[in-house]
Amino acid sequence: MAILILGFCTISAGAWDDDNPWRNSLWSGTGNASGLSFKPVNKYHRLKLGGVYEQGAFNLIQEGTGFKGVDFTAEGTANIKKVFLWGRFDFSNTFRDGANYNVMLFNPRPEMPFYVADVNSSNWRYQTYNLAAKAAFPLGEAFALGIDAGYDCGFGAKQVDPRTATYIRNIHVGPSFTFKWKEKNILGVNIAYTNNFERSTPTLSNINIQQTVALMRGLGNCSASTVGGGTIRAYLYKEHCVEGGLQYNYTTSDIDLLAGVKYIWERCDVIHDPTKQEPMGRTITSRIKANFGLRAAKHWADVNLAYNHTNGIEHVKIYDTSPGVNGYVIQASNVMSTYDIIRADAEYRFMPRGKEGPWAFGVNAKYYLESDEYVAPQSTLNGSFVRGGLCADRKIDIGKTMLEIYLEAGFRAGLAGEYIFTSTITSPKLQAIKDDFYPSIAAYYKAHAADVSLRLAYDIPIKKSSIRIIASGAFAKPINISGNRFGVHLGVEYRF
Amino acid sequence: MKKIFIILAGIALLASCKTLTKTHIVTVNIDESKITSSVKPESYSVTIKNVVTQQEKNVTSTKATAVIEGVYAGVYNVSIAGSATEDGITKNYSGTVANVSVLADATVTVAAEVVEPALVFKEIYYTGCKYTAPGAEKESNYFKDQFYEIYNNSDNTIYVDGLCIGTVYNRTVNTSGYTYSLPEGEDVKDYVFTQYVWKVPGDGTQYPLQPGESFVMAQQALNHTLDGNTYGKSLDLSKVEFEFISEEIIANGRCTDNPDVPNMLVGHKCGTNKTLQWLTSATGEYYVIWFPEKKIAPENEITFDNGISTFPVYPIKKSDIIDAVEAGKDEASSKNKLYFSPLDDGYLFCPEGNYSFQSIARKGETKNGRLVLVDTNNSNNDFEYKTDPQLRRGGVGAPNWK
Repeated sequence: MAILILGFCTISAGAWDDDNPWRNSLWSGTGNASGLSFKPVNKYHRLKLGGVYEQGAFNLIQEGTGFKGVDFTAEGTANIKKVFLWGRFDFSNTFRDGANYNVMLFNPRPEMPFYVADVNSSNWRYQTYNLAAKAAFPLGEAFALGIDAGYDCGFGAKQVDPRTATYIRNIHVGPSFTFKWKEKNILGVNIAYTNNFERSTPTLSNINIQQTVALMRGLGNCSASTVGGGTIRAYLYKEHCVEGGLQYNYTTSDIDLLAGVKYIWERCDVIHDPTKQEPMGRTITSRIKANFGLRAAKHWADVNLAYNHTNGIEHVKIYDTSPGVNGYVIQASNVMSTYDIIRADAEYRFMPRGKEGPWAFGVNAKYYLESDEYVAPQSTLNGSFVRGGLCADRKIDIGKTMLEIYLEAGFRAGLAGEYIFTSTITSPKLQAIKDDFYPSIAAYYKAHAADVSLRLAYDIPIKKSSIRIIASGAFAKPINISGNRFGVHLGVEYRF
Repeated sequence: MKKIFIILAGIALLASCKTLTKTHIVTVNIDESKITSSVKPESYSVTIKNVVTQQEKNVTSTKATAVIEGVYAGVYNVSIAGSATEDGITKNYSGTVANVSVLADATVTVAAEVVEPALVFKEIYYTGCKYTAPGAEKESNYFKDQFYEIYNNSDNTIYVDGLCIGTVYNRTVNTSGYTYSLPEGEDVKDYVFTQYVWKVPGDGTQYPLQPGESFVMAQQALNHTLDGNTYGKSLDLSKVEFEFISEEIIANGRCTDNPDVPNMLVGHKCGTNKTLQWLTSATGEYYVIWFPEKKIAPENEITFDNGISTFPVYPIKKSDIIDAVEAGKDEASSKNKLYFSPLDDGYLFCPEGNYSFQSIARKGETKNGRLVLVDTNNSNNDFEYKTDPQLRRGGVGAPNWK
């Protein structure tokens, strides 16, 4: 739910890089807060200050060639009588370098075909603020109610003409319910509503040079326009999301199992010019998610599956100048593009002497498949890859302090990457969209790459609290395309 | 995996109540009530273009009806283009209905109207060049590489079948004191005169020129850059659209007919002189293109008398002229300018003169993805001279006639 900035996720920086009680709780990621009433997280508080730096061309071209930033997190739990509370606040200030083909979107993504693109490589600046909270209310021994709530906002600014100021705001609320029987079984159900809003306003620093841009409709299909002279005004993204989830938790003295399934329906209307309210398109997205988690003394496992289907809907619209109307009227709407994405990841961790033991070994795997189609003239983008990794974690006691060393090596195999474009782009200035933009995405998916990451964490206990210093680095090198990607992350965390 | 993918897609589609995208059939009826000619086009080229996506479909009508299938809902411009030839005279017809909302199967009526053809001279290379023939010690003058490029400067398809080209006979310029055997009631001021009428072949449907395309007529459609021959060292004209070759020219043996390039037709030749080649002056002439209102026929030839001699000439009605460009020898010769408004108020020349391998090319700029040439009927404003004569300068399109 929180606003995420693309970037460090490009390469693996260690699956266990954020080791804290909340992340390791099976119920924390379900969206069902009421489950925490039966499975509360151990009380904790932490403050974290971090910095990230990432550089390299092995990534999706809209994400840019460089990324650096700082982030701050305050997080903790509390109990008020029998009510369990959890809250978190995040702040980030980041810079992205060398991002391409995006004028408008705070966070470009495959499922959003309606935006403005240019061919000028640009830097971006971002600030984000995320607030999230959960509360679990027990109702006797067998029932519990819960509530999830969140508020995020962010600001982005493109630094090269056509430059853009973007504002994004999300509000989330989700009630939930759980039922427990025979001590071992917990059944949960939750619903949620999220309202997302984004407003992007393009401007020019040099007003004497109008900038040619593409009004994108999907898979490279676009119309040429210009920023300057009042042609392109603000874009608004208004999104409503509703969600329903079901969870089942089975617990014995030896194991803790949780399986969940979730369905999310999203509708996003893209509107140009707040005054004229010109409808540019709509996306309808269905997301199906399933997750499975196992916690045993020596064995941990997590499996997550997600399938997204998005319809890119274009409107037949006219500008009605009739008295009393004087605005755009949608005459019909058609699904002109579709976007299907499958994400799957699995992780298994073996701890010979349990969670607190000195050694842990793990394997993980990730699968990604994207299949997009523009109906007519038919264009397609297909890409998929699979990645597997081996990792080991070693905890070394040094007096009262502890050093944790995590090492992971992985290999990514590109399974497919093909872009077929059968339309035409009339503007000579925008030919790079079909010649560079989308072909580079296909090439990225098809790339084979090896990666390695190392993380060092040093815990220093101070009475009942501790300081944790984290340093991590990762490097990915593709085999069949040029470029690479490396990143480092430094953080200081105070736990109390 | 494929099955899983399909199952997941099915679940998601059901859940999202996907609206299947339908296509529609658009029937275009062509209203020919404004066509006064007895001959109407056999068919029309019908185009439906989405105003947002700029995607288009093109079909050929059967008589005055066209059916376009597979049209997605949207707002479209529907346009037609056709032509018909009667007595060797080609007329172009077009029509457009803008902003048609196609939400279901639809019928659109488009009125066909006479098109005022917006054809213009794009580039004229008349100066010729110097070359040294194999084995020769001195340079010679070369002029068989002259060419004339015509450009469709409009948004309509124009059939160039029957288009005439010629140069104005300069002896006819000083009308004062001259007499002309024009039919009674005709005013000499309404005419210019030529001695050769060359005509694009075709039956009215063979040579459509799309917006932004040009075609080239060469004196001789040969590769004039080959080594070891007598073709000079200038341009490869072996793939142009037409060449000025006739049976008479072939018979006299001075020119080589390129079998891959259609020959222009001799619409009319005044007098009895033999035509050795269509050589226009290497110091420039007054060039005109026109669609004749009246059939080109020998009986239309007239004579003019300058008080000393009489000359046979063929009259061209000024109102039929589509474009005219007056080029001369040098600045000093501008005092001999032949004609003014509305044909050409300007006068231009290639500064290095004849055999300089220079040309005159019309200026233009790209708008909405198409080159739009300047046409103010003043060649001083509209043209500039070039030291590198080129076919389709600026990368304009070539017609797909072959």
